[in-house]
Amino acid sequence: MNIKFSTLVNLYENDVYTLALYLLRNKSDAEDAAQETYLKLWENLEKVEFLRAKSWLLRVARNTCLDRLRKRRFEYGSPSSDMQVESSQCPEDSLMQEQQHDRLAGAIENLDEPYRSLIVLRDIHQNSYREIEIILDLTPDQVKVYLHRARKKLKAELIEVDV
Amino acid sequence: MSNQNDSKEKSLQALLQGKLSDTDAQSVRSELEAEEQRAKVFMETYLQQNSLERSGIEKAPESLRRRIRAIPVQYERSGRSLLHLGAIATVVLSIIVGLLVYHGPAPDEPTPEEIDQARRELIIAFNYLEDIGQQTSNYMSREIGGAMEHALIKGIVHGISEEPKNG
Repeated sequence: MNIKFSTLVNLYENDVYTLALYLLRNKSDAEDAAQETYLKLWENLEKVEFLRAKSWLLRVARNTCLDRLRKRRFEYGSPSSDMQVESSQCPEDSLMQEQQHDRLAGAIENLDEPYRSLIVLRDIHQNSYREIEIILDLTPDQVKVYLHRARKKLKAELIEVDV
Repeated sequence: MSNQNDSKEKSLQALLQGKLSDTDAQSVRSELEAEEQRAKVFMETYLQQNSLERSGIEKAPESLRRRIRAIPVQYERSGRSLLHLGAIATVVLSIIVGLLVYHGPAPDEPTPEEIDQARRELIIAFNYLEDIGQQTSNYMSREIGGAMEHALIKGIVHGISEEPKNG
């Protein structure tokens, strides 16, 4: 396998998959989107700079997911979620964690774009502001303001779900 | 509280539209940065309280890992020309021939099979080297400039030409 490609697979496949999973909330669709993202990387490997590859991958992954969401809404309406947390804990803990995780994922799912991507990229992935600006094609002020709104909405969603 | 939110939202909108003075814009930005810390604490507390602190990044399932790693096999890129391989093979063969001429016949001469094996291994090694070298060279020429690139190539060539003498 090409060294650059395999390195970028090893470094970022979990990030790409996680973003796809949070956006699509369906494991099978997330796998398809992640594979499509890496196929695009393979086709553009020489154009993608190694140091900017993470932003490139996450931007392509997000666009791929948004395309899929648009198609999905058009074809089927709202999808059922099968997003689950893998855990090695005891069944009770695991079930509880799964429910809490589902609650968070559900609250994130209820956010509109770009708020959903912002929460995933910043609060889940811990990407830097600069990376987020590149991935979402936003100005620094837009990132700050939209993130503020996203968190406010998420907080409201979480409190609402908890009540 | 609602009035406070409305006024905050107005100032955020004005920031986005570039309607604030530099001082006011900076003040709103600072406020947002302070909020970043509070929001971070909220998220961390929420995740911690719900034992979710380690569930942020999902591990890609094995099926996906296999599918991604199969991409280079399934989708050969047309851009990777055989010219590259041909050029590398020519360089490798030239080096081998050069070294044989330079050193003359060795006391324990390898068998033709051993030479073939060594040649194959060398070609594979050079293929990897070329791949890394190309990426490094691109990065160097962009980020550091021609001087470093020249030094790198010189270093690699020097290293290769030194290798047989050491072995």
